[in-house]
Amino acid sequence: MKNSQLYKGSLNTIIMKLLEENGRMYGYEITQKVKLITKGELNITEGALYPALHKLEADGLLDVEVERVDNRLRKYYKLTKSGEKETVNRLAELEEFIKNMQTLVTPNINPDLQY
Amino acid sequence: MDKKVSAEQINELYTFTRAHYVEYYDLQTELVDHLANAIEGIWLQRPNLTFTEALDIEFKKFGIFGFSDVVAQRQKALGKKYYRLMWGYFKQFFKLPHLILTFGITFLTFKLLEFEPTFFIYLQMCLIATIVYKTIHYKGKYGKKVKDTGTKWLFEEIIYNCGGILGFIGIPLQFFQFTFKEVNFFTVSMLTVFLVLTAIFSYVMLFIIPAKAEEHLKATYPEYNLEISGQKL
Repeated sequence: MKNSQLYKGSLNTIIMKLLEENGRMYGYEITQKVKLITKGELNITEGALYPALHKLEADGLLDVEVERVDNRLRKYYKLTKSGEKETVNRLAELEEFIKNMQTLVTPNINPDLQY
Repeated sequence: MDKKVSAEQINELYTFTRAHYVEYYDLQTELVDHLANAIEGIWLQRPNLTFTEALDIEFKKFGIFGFSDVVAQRQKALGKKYYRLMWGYFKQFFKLPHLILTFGITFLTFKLLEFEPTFFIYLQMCLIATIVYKTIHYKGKYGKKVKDTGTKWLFEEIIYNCGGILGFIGIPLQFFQFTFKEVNFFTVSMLTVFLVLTAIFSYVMLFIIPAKAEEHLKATYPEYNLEISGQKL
């Protein structure tokens, strides 16, 4: 992942959003999807992804399925019912955050407040 | 045709994860699939790379600590899951019909301690002896199972370690002093509440959860069914 606390703080939301859109995904697939969407700008590191997935699973927001693919077992993650609700909340929170940050970083100068 | 990781190389990846301190089969399986996918991804771009060279590139992406952070975070996450499970069973004792039993035991304990407060020491000693006996018993049982199957499951280890209850057995000793002080309603009530709560927690961790271990393991690990049905890769 890009070495930035800003991205790290949003990792769980990114994962949940991807699962909301794609139904179920496995770890490697998530890293590749993010890379693809952001055109290689954002790289989720394995060391950050799996702890985040395991935490979300332990919190009851993700459920797991295991399937045999080729000659190995593959673990898929999908949102639980509470995970779906939480995704909506977290996305709304993230959008609000982005909006506020935009206002702070590029404030519109209100002519009424000028002297 | 795209180059694929062979079954033999999958076994090598299991050995590789074990060599890098990933003891648990559940985590090994996930990391093996990740590494296999990543290696196959590298081969799409650079088909001439050997399996070992591609693995080396992918492993470096986990950083200088390798898999250790992933293992530590997994332990933390499953520890949290265990305590949530334990709390769920604990709360059952304060809902009907269990509540009647809890109330009855609390009343009898109160009467017993009111009559003779030092019974607290004997009762706690019985509890400590039970904790020690059961945790040693489970340790042996789990150790034998690991030896027989050759696989370790993290959540199973947490269950048979009884959530680390053995580390808390010193706490009751702090309460022994109250049994020698002036006996009044407050001290007897405090000892009763402590005794009943520790007994319920211990019962949940030592009896209820281990008895339902298979059920919880199947719920935690979908691959557990594949493993126990002898389909291990």
